[in-house]
This record gives sequence, C-alpha cells and structure tokens, in this order.
Amino acid sequence: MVTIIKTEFIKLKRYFIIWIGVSLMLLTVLLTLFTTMADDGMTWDYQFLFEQVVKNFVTMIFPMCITLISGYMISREYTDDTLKNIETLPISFQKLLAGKLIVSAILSLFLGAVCFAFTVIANFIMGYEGFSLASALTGLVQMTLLGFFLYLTMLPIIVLTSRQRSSFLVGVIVAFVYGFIGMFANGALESIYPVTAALGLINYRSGTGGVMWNKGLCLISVLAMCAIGIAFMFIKPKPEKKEVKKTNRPAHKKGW
Amino acid sequence: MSDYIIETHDLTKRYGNQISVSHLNIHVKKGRIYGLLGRNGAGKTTTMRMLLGLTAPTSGEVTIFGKHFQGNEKKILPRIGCLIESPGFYPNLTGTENLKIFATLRGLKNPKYIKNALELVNLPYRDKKLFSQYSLGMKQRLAIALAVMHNPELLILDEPINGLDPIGIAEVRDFIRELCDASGKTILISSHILSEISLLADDVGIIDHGKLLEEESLKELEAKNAKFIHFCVSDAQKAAQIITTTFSSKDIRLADANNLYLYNTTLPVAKINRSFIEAGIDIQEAHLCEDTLEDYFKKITGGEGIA
Ligand SMILES: Nc1ncnc2c1ncn2[C@@H]1O[C@H](COP(=O)(O)OP(=O)(O)O)[C@@H](O)[C@H]1O
Ligand SMILES: [Mg+2]
Repeated sequence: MVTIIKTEFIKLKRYFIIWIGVSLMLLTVLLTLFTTMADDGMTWDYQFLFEQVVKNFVTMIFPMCITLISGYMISREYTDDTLKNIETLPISFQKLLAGKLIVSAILSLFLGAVCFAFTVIANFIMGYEGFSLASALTGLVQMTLLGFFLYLTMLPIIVLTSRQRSSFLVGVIVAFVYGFIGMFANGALESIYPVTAALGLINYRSGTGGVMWNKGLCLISVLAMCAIGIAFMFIKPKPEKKEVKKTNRPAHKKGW
Repeated sequence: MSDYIIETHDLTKRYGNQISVSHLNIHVKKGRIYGLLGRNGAGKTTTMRMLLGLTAPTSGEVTIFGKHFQGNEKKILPRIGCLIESPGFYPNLTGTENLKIFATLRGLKNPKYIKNALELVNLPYRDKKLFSQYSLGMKQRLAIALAVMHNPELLILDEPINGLDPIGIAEVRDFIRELCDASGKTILISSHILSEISLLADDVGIIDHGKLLEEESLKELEAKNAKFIHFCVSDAQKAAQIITTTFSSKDIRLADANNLYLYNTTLPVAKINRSFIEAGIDIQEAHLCEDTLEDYFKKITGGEGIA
C-alpha cells in the first residue's frame, strides 16, 4: 500500500488537476471578497471574512472540487489506458482505488490549508482588523480539517463513480448539489446533514452564539458517510454497466 | 503435466451475441516464439486479454506454467511481461518516470532495471521528454521496455511492432529473437502481418473469426505450401492432354487457353517441354512456383487465393 501511495504522488507531478484545485481555492476567497462589494452596512473583520470563506468553501466549491480531483485521478487510469498495466502486475483495482483515496485525503488537507493561506493573504490586502497569530493557528487547523471531513462525506460519490470511465462528471454535479443544499440545513438538521456536520466537527461559529452543534450527531453523520463510501468499495466490479448505477440513489438518501 | 507454458482449453469469449473467441486451444511451448496470426478483429487481443485476466472468459480454461490461471493470478502474473494493444502510460510524466512507477509497484528498487530496459529499446534514460510528446514509435518502444523490465520468463506481446518504422521493426525483431535464444524466454506474439510472423515465429497459430484454424511449426507450415510448375503455352488444352497421356499425371489445372498448372513437380520438365514442341505447341514460359505463406493464409481463411 505504501508503494501504491508513493507512485500516486509521482503520477501527480505536472498534473494540471492540482492547479485546478488551487485555483478553485483562490476562487473561493475571491468569491467571498466580491460579496464585500455589496455594501450592506456590515463592517468586515478577519473573523467575519474567515466565516464567509468557510461558508462558500462548504456550500459552493470544495465538495465539487475534491470530487473532481479524485474523479480525475481515478478515471485517468481508464482514459490513459494504464489500468491494464497495473492489473497485470498484478494489483487489483480495489487496492489501487484505496491508494488513490488516501492520496485524495491528503490532498483535501492540503487544499484546506491552501484556502486558508489565500484567506490570510486576502485579509492583508483588504486590511481587516482582528487578525492574530492565535486566530490564524485555529483557523488553519479548522480549515484544513474541514477539507478532510468534507472529503469523507463525499466518499460515497467518489467511490460509486469510480468504476466507469467518465461517470465522475455526474458525481461532480451531484457533489455540488449535495454541498449547496447544506446552505439550507437548519437547526438539528445542521448536525445531521453530513456536509454541515463537517462544520460542526470543526466547531464553526459556535462561540458567537450562531449554532448549537450536537457533536455526537455530527461525528456519526460524517463517519457514516465515510463508512458507506468504504463499503461501496467492496461492491463486486461488474463489467456490465447496470449494477453500479442502480445503487446510486438509495446511497444518497441514507446520508440525508 | 504437459511442457506447454501456455495452454488453453476451449477458451471462449462472447460479447453480447457476438462470439469474439471460440473454443480456442492454443499450445505455447517453452523457449519458443509462438506467433498468433490473424486479421484485424480476428480475436487476438481478446485472447491475450483473457490469458492475462484482463477479460474474463465466457467459458474455457487457461493454464500457464502448468497452473490454472484462475486462482493463481498472483503467482503467475509477476512472471509475465505484457504489452496489450496501444501503449498506456501517464502523459504528464517522462518515459523514465513512467517506468519508475511500474518498477516501484513491482518492488524493483534498483534503477538499473529501468535503465537496462530503456537501453534495450533505444530510448534515452532520464530524458526530459514527456510521454505526451512521444511519437507513436517511441510510445511503442516504451511499452516494450515495460514488458521486459522485470526480466519475465514469458512475454505476451500484442502487435508489438505497430507504429514502428522499418528499422525499428528490424531492431525489435532482433531483440525478441535474442530474448528467446539467449535468455530462453517463451514469447507469444500476435500480428496481422504475415511476413513478421514468418520472420520471427517458431510456431504459428492462425486465428480467424475467433477460431484457431491451424497450429503448427513454421517449418511444417512452409512444407505444406503447394509447389507447382506453371506453363504458359500457345495451346494449353493440347498440352494438358500430352501430360495426362504421355506422362500419365492427372495432377493438373487448366486456367485458361494459355495457362496450365502442373502440381506434380517430380515430372521431368525438360522432357515435357520437348514433347510440347514436338506437338507444335509454343512455350512462352515454364517455371517452378511456390505458394507464399500469404497465399496459404488466404486460402485457409477463406479469402481469395490464386491456386
Ligand atoms: N469490449 C468489447 N466489447 C464488444 N466487442 C468487443 C470488445 N472487444 C473486442 N470486441 C470484438 O471482438 C472481436 C475481436 O477483437 P480483437 O480481439 O480486438 O481482435 P484483434 O486483436 O485480432 O484485431 C472484434 O470483432 C471486436 O469488435
Ligand atoms: Mg488487436
């Protein structure tokens, strides 16, 4: 497994998809800055910027972004026709997929950190008050972990779409909708809906009296999605295409 | 157990209601080059994919190194090097980086393996060129390098000379021959180009529409080829009569008014010629001909043949 992970990193060299990921993180911050233009009388400070970035990160960009990156990393083995070379080593698709999912997890942490870096840079450019080293440190940890938790909630989509050449593009759309719906989750639902539960796990806005998180529920929700994703890995690969699609719908209902 | 390295029993693959490979029984002997010859779409790639477990057979069995393939993949596959259809590599990496991935996955730590493999196919080691910038011939070479990198006992090469230039083809042919002769490797190679197979293979299997039509050594195959004497004369009808009466041979074919084929090549040609002249027949040509393998191939696959 270590060698698979090692080779997955070699495969990422000069790979455009990493830059798409970084660009999307930049976009998250830019998108947030645009909303500052809409002058609604709010005075922005660092804390508010951070919270707005996190909101866009969760509901707009990141679910789609990480599904896209993982999907690309997986589907390239089909499109570059390298799967035959790997399967005859022999390394099973399952093992390869497991290796890729671990690398994606590391990438989700990385992208979370990148997004935070852009946030800090934006804060400097805009000259908002309230930035401190302590807040920076918690912010870094929060956003990095948020990337990872969100990734876990996307696992079922990523795994389900991994068996076919380009069905991951459907997965990307589903992931976007899945993330976007998080915007409307309210009250207790916020701790149950996996995407917003990830926010609970990083203690988002709990201090300012915004949200009452049920941490236990949040944890269960995120872990359940992760477990479902892992379970999907053991679905027997069927060369005939019907099997995979059928299981698609009930999977999401479970999460919601 | 038999001493075949690869043996298949009624190997069959069906896609929907199309049968791509039908009850195939091939026998690849140790230390020899086996050429699987067939037109495009004959089922060569499908057969090789089944031998490597990339495609599940609909029915039938594969035995490699005397073991059933199914259930022993982990033991069998590391001893095989293969190239199936088009070369598949990561376009964003160089040739060396690509090989490094597969070397790492195979547990080959020493960079020598990569270096030697690249040397063998005449590609530079540690070149900056990305795979996406490779020419078709270079891609094919890299795929061959991948197949031989780990020094496998058995090579399964699907149309390995595709996309190579004539010099490249000769080079690859030479080193495949060398791998077999010097290192005692067993090689299964497929091609739709007959001359390639006849230049390289020791044994030949001819496959058409998924069926194995013929399997024998190249020597036997060549011996089977029809030899005949072709007469081009002023009156072929009359000439035929002379041969049947004077030389009592019925092994002839009258092509038209001027062309006559005699399949009994032991008859004295000089005497026949004299008899023709004495009978007032002019002889434009008389020569010994041999069917090429190509003619034979056409004949048994049901294509147009000349004889
Ligand atoms: N995945 C597939 N699905 C359906 N038909 C296939 C598939 N692969 C190969 N075939 C069919 O099987 C036949 C044999 O193909 P192939 O083995 O590639 O021939 P060859 O390699 O000898 O040119 C062809 O008619 C091809 O259309
Ligand atoms: Mg083929």
